[in-house]
Amino acid sequence: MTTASKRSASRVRRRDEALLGIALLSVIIALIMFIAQRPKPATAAEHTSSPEAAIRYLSPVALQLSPNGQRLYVVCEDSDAVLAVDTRSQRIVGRAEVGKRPKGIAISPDGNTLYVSDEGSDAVTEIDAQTLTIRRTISVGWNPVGLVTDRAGITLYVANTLGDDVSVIDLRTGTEKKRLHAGRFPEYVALSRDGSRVYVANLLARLGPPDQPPISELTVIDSATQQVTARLEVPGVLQLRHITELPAAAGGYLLIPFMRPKNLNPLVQIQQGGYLTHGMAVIRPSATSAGEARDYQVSELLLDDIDHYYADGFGVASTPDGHWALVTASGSNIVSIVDTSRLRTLLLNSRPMHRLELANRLDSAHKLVAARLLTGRNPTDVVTSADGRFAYIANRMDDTISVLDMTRLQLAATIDLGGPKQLSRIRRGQQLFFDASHCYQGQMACATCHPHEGLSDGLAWSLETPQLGRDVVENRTLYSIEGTEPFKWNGKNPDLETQDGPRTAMYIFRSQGFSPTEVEDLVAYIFSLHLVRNPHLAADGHLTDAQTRGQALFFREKTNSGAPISPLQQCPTCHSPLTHFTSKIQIDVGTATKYDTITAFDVPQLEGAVMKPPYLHDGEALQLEEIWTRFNPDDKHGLTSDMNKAQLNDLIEYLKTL
Amino acid sequence: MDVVGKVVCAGLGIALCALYKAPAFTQSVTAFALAASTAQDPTDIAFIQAPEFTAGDPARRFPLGSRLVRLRLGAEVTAPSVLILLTPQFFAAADPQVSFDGRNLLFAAQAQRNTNWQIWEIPVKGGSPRQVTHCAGDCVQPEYLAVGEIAYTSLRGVEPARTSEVQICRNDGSEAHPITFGPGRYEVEAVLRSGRLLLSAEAPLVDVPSVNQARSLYLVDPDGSGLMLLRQDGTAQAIRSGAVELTDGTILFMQRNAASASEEHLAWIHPGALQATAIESAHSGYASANALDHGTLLVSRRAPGHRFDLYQIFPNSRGRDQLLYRDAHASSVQAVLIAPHTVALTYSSILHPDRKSGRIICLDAYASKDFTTGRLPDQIVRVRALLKTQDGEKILGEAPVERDGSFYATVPADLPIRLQLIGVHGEVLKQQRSWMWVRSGEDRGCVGCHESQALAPENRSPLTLQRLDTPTPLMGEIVINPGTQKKARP
Repeated sequence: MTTASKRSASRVRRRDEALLGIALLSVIIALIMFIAQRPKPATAAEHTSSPEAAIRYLSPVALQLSPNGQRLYVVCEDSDAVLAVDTRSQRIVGRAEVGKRPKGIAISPDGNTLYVSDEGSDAVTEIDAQTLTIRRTISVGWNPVGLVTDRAGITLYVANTLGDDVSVIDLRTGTEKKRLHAGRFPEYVALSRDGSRVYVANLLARLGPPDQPPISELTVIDSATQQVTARLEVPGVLQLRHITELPAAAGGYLLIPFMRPKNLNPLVQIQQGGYLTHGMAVIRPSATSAGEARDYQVSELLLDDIDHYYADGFGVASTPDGHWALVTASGSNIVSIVDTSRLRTLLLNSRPMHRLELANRLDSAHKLVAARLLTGRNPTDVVTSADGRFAYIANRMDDTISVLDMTRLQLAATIDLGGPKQLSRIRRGQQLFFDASHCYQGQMACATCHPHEGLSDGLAWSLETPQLGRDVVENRTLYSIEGTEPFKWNGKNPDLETQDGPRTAMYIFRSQGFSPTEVEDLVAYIFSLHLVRNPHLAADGHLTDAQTRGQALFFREKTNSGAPISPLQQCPTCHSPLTHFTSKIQIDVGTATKYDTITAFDVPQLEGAVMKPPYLHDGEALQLEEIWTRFNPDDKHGLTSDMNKAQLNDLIEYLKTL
Repeated sequence: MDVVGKVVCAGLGIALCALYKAPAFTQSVTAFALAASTAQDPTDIAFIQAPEFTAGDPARRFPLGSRLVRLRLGAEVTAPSVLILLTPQFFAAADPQVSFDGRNLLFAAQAQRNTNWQIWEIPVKGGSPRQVTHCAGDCVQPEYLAVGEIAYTSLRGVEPARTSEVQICRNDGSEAHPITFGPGRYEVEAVLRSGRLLLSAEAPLVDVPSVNQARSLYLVDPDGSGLMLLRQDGTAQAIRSGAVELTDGTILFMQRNAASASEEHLAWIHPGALQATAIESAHSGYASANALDHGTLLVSRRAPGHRFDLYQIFPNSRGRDQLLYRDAHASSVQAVLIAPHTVALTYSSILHPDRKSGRIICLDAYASKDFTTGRLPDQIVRVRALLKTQDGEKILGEAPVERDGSFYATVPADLPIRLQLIGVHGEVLKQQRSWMWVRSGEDRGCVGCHESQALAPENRSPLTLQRLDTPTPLMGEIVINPGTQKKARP
């Protein structure tokens, strides 16, 4: 008998003694424990390895025009490429292979160099804009997306989404000078028109009490000092996306699409903004001279109508004269064209109280929006030509570019980028994931609450239950959830087909939802979602010293004093490494509150789930450490009361590798 | 009749047409062409021809009978066109609606002058009609729902005790059940692409003369839950009817002043607009309006003292109206475009028919558009629920209103109720002037009481849900007899 086998047999005996009387639970746990020996190394697959997954779609997600307007550069995230499109012939004239999963693009002020963020490679690829040859690769932070150069073209700012920071790159040396702490999940950046500031839009709201509305942050960086000079609060919203600044003549406003959730309200009514609304932040910097502290006036306007919604605002751009602002609704296949003169009039004529009310008015867009134009599937980025005649929109889910005639406010052409015409099951599911048309009045798609392809929005939602206002539950990630059924915090959905089928139709979409075939497609797509790469884990899977110590703590069977730990208080008992670190049952770990109607909650999988707080079923724990230091007074959630600060830190380091 | 048949008909006239194949009855007529700027392919329409048409009671609109016909409108003037009679076997026909696939027509018909109106279906190409409903009273105004169901208006009794309610049944007429539960003479107007039903009903329903002519537009889910006014536009004396949804979500309808003898004019409510706006036109006297194509409308209109004719109108271009069809001896009304159109979304009901009660959660009873501040200035202490009875109304009970204006109460299902807000001295601060109902197991959410419909709620957890003793039961002494309970479907 091997040592490992002896240890397992010993554990089985002790466990049987401890679990006597709760036979069913014991059997399940015993089976898991008997096999459980060591953690499964985390993988970094982008999609499942099925033959269908081998089809390379383009998925255009970011655009950049050359200064003369003759070339449109298109970042294609699913083909790891950048395409150059001749805007006159509307044909592809060049292609560059870049790193994994490119997401963003910037162009040097002279137009000679492109910078492409490779989210899956933690790098920026520098490309010759004329020849499309790769010049070099620059390492940046975790999962970079948005990027922009300063006016001189010697500094590059890169938003690192998973790192919650911004890499400041010296382009003369190709090295990172510093990282600036941003908000949560910084995604897109923009340089102010005068070049003095870099604005960073953060996708997730700040961490805060789950019973309070979210507050998002626009991080402002002084481009001269390369320091953060302001953290603007944008209250009540999240998912700040692209940024555009109107010319001074048009008010000089910053426009940033957002989603405005109603997660604290009982979700009994989807119409009249009962679940959520979509709009844009309108931020007006004060007219102080450069270098002085600035005041910012933050207003919020909805782009939804009373009877129809424009889900998941994403891209924003303005014509050079600032007269038109274009905002893509990526879930609705629509671009809204806003008359900024009306916008300015509305804001200037609104008293402060009414300006606050604008954030909830569903009749503002009717006054501001000059046209709603149909785009391709899942419109993301939008850019306008220097002469203001055309706008280009990247349609991620059908591999096309919509060309708008801005003099007539009409669709002028659709450029087919040549992606595969055959739709794989995963691709069909992906299209559904981003499509809000299945929801009553088009309020939301799956991606609305799971932005950035499966991320949790970080909110606790008061979903409808037999008792309103009870069982408020934290949203959960969709990364690596295959094999972690049942779903929901109460464990009532035995599989994802149940979760995404009739239940979603009845309680979320309040409409017909998806057909059985569509549900199969959607499940295939969701099961393909993983973190692109776990930045906490070395590429070879080797653990650091702290991670190794944390792993030992995770699997420990004795306390610091040497006393045996009951199997029910050992981490792997419930977070079994064999099943994605979940036992797939509901357990009472003492976290229920008086507003919960149940006490036992589904054990969440840990793979890919510990990356972003908050934690626990109701989002009460804002940091991992709080799970044990605030919400585990009786050691029901594992025996952790004997751990010191250093041990908790080590444990956290290990959990981050999962 | 197939395309070849119609070509033969057009070329050789009625006699040969009848020999070729006449599904019902054909007639050579003169139809004008659609405006060149909008016509691309020949367009087929169906409409009702009647020697006399009277707006009002849906069962009395065609006292001299009527017929459902089909007509092709070409891109150029074609004379003669062929008018195909689809309902020769009926005394009267009305309310044609085209199925989502464009293949069938649903309509109401009266077999004989004195028989009840029932709902029928016929292929657009003609053929034997199929009876859908077998109503004890009159059933009119049918509309297709998404999943093999139809909605229609069910009329019972005679004036002044005339009642009407909206019912749903399967396409074969089975499982008929009501989805409206209050006074107000609810009638079906349209099925929206969102899957909800657009209804019209009398409003307000309290403190008004017993015969109230004003009618407003309401929205309701196909299971009867979620009743709400489409817009509170402040024109209480308007009679609104003939509403349809255009492709961009705009609701087009006819409107006239109940207090005057004016004729119907056209108005619409855009998806983002809080108020209805009149469509610019020098005309009034509309009998129906519908979407045609390219933003144009297919309307039935008459000059004073004349019959109703069919026109193509350009809502934003005065003077471009195009006469499409005129019959010297009959009015032409209720025209619809025969073409496939977007299938309405299926609604997923979450009612619980066994509960016999529903719940009302109001987030902020202070929110009210009746005050310049948007908020009721007085302190609200309680909310009172009233039940309509045969001889008036009775109090069901009162529930506390929290300082944030929220309240949460249980009320009996499928019965007409209304709410009053009570102040610190027991006075009625505000009251609902219409009757509503809550379905079995429905959780009715309200942003406020008489708040602007353009106002989304604040994102905050209502205090009433932080109490552990809500919802407050406001059931009065009601004992619900399952035998008399109207059927509720999930």
